[in-house]
Amino acid sequence: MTAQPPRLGLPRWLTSIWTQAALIVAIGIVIALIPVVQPRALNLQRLAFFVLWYAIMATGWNIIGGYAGQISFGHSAFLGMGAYVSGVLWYTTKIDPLLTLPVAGLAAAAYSFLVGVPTLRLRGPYFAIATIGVGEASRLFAVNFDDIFGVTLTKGVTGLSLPNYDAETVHYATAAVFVLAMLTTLWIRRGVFGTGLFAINMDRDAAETVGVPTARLQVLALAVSAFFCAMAGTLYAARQQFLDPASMFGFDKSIALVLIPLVGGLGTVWGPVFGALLYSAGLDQIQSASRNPYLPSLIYGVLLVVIVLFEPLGIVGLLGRLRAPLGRLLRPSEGAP
Amino acid sequence: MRRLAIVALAAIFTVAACGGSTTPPSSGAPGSAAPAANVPDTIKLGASLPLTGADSTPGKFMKDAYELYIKQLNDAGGLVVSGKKVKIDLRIEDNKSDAATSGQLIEKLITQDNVDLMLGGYNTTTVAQEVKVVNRLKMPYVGGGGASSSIYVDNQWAVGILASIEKLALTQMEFIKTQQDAAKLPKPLKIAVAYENSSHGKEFLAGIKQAETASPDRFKVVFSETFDLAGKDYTSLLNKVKDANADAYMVDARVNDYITMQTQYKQLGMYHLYETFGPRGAEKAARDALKASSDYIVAAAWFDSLMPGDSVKKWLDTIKVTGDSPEWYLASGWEVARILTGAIQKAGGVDKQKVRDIVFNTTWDTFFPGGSFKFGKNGQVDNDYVMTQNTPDGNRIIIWPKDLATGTATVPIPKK
Amino acid sequence: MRLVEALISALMVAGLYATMSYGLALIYGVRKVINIANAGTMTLGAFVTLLIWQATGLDPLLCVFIVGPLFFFVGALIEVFLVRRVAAQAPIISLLLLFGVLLVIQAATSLVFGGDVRSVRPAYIESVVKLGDITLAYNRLAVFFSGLVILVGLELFLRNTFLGRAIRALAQDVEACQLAGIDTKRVSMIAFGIGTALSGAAGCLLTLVFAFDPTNPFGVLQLKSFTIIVLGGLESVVGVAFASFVLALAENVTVTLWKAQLENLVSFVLLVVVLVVMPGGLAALLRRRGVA
Repeated sequence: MTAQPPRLGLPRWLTSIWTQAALIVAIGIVIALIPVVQPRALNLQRLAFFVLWYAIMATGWNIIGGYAGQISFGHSAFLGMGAYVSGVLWYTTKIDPLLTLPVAGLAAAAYSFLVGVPTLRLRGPYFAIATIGVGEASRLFAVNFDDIFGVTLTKGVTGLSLPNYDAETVHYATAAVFVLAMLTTLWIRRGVFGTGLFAINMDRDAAETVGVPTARLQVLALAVSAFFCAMAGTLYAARQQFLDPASMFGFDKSIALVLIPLVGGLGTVWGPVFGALLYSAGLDQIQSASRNPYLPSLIYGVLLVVIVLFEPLGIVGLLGRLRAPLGRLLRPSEGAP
Repeated sequence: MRRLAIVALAAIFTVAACGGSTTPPSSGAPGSAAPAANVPDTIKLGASLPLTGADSTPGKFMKDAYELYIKQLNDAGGLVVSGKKVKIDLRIEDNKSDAATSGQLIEKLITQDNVDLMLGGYNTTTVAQEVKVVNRLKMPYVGGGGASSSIYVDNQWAVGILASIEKLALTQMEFIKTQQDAAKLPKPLKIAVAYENSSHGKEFLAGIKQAETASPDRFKVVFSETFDLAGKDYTSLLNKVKDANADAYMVDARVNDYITMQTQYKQLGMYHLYETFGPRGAEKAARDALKASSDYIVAAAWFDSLMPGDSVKKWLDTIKVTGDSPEWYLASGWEVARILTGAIQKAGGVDKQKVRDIVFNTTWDTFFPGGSFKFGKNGQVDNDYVMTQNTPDGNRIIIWPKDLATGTATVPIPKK
Repeated sequence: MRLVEALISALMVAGLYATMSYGLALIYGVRKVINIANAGTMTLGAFVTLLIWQATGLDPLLCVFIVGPLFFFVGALIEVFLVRRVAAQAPIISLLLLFGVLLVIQAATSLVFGGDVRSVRPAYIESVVKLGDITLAYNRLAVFFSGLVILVGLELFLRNTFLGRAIRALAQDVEACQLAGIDTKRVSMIAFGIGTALSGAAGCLLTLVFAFDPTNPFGVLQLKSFTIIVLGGLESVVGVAFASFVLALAENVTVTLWKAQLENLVSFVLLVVVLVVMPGGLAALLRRRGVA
């Protein structure tokens, strides 16, 4: 397999990494301008934030889950880690939460090493199972931290009420982190790193034979992935100003992060964005229309089954079917997972 | 594909954004000139409640109360605001008992559905998140489902009609003092406390500890431990309680945990002179499940339907149509709807700042203990609790405060 | 004394833990996939039991005999129409597929039954058996013995019948089975059916011990069952029984000696520790069984 998508029918400049990067930056700028152009369109700002928020996390998840093919059911651990690192720092030392974005990211990346180093060496379902345990253990840890160590930090299930913060500032920061995440995923996808990850995904033994450091690449992919999820956590803390273990470390968040890239297009650059758009904005409107909180999850469950059975590349794959040449271009390669 | 992506992205965004509102949310009536002219034809009220999930039972009670109250108003032609009859449009969303979801739903109700004012949700953690959101969006919020005082830190826009959980515990301790003075309970009373791992539980313990510090000659907490919500097996915990050799057993738990725990308590053949499950002991769901095993349990709640007074009786008649057992959640939801609509009338419209000021500055009459609500600077009230004890005939009596009592408490609990 | 009680209490819980994990081990054996939909069928089992109990008052223990066969067909259908179609692809695809099944079952259960907490309370719910100083709840004893009976029955089936031996053989080596003329498709279907039937049975038993709603406590139990099969070596039924006891004991001792609220943390810490401390051993175990 090759990491470079075949160029069929479209001019080369359009598929180049530079055009893609420019497109990402353009989208980021357009979204960032929403509060400037439409200061009273709070609904649009709300939708934009949550779409970008999910897109950032799903893009992160996609690096380990989509590119490297190691499905994680516990990415809420990193989301929660980021949210709580920034939240607690903000609460205790009054450091501006957006300044702690990299701190939160690095803390989660370090955490991911603890998880990834032992489990990513193993074959089979170990990583997937371990991540479920990690997600849930992290939640329970946040719940019980104050009682285990006798220091008030997480405030347990009560939740951490944070100081007020300007939502508009968070909006700009979110757009910036989104651009950063997308550029990173594009760069990984098109570079040697991504090629290595896809090679592992296709055939780990073969990859090892040709000298790909499989374990190290996967651990690194997990760290990058955790880094972005944690930054999303910080953004959430700054915007909603309230953290509780069930919401931040909840299994439903981990599930969302599996669903979004899958529905959007596993292992593709744009899949997580499409998935987030459908999941966040779509879910929102379905629930609004139906007044039933379970209908969306039912729809997504069915969608997941259908996608796995018939269209492994999700929305990206479907778009590709609509316009075959475009589709082939979008696919990471023929026969990718 | 790039163009395709951008078009698709823009299209979905537009659809999503237009889903509810193309107009920016109005920040109430512009200015505060001539209120009568500003009275809209319909007023939209919003609420996010736990209709499913862990808190679905209280959530349903509050929903029924809100809906019935609003239905009555609309059936009468609407709420009279500045001489004009205004229909009320109530929009309730289900937050699945999840705090983050609830925060997002409230933001959607405000920014997309353009609700004018908010009715409160249920569960301390959830309400804490909701209060954060309404403060950010400067939206008045009248709640009756979160009692922890931690909710109301830095709060300008939300009020709650439930007194704090510390006060719940302190009320019980006051009652115990009278029993000690009547030589019905020993002095000092050895207390074993088991509390749910939540702010609710922690404040329950804090209240008891506060009483212990104030009167060390009367109270001695010999055991205190917390347990996870929705547990299955409390036998190990109960065995530790047994070993503590306490006189009184004071628990703070939700209904399901209360049922599981009390079942196992009886299985283990345990006995204490005094037993309470915080605000839960008298709830119908638990009484139905536990039957005789819940006899003599003492409860302290914000409201009890046995309370004397015509307004309580009238309310009981009114809410019969819901078919719900008249638990305090139902009463709380009712009072919340009454206060918010009352504030709209007084404000002559839905100007947010005005409604907020009126809610905060008015003394609201109520059928809750104390007879009136006056919100403190932080938005919380400090009303008294009413205590009940389950009786062996499947009923209960009010035992505290004295002026409301309908019977004499059986203390200590008779040993079978 | 309290430790002895913790030990006995652990034994009681282990019966339920084992019943809900046997199916995972069986299915992993034949399909090399963790049946992540296990919690979903368990949820369904509990709600079907609730319906039967409400309608007829039939004891939840006897409901096992209705739910078991019924869920055998559910499992067989899932295998034939879903899992089999992606069998040729990487195991992770089957995992995702079953994950979709789980979401569908949970959402559908929530839609139909609402989110209220339910409980099944037969007349004997407060009855106890006294052994000297130790009090044993009747319902827990019943659950323990059911777990034991299922274990013995399953082992006898796997060792002494042709079908059982075929399931074990399939877990060892697919190609050899095909060469020996075993209808591997049929055996997989049956194993999946039995696995699902067991999770349904676990749902029945669970109603005796827990109050439940469409998501609780199934999520936590699901995670515990993963710990159990990892601890028990993924495919061995006896290993599962043993691991169930180890986990239950660790939980009970933690509660007795330390804090009640840490009970659930134990299993996840145990899971991660097992994976971290003995990865070589487990990997070796896997490789020996031809999984990698």
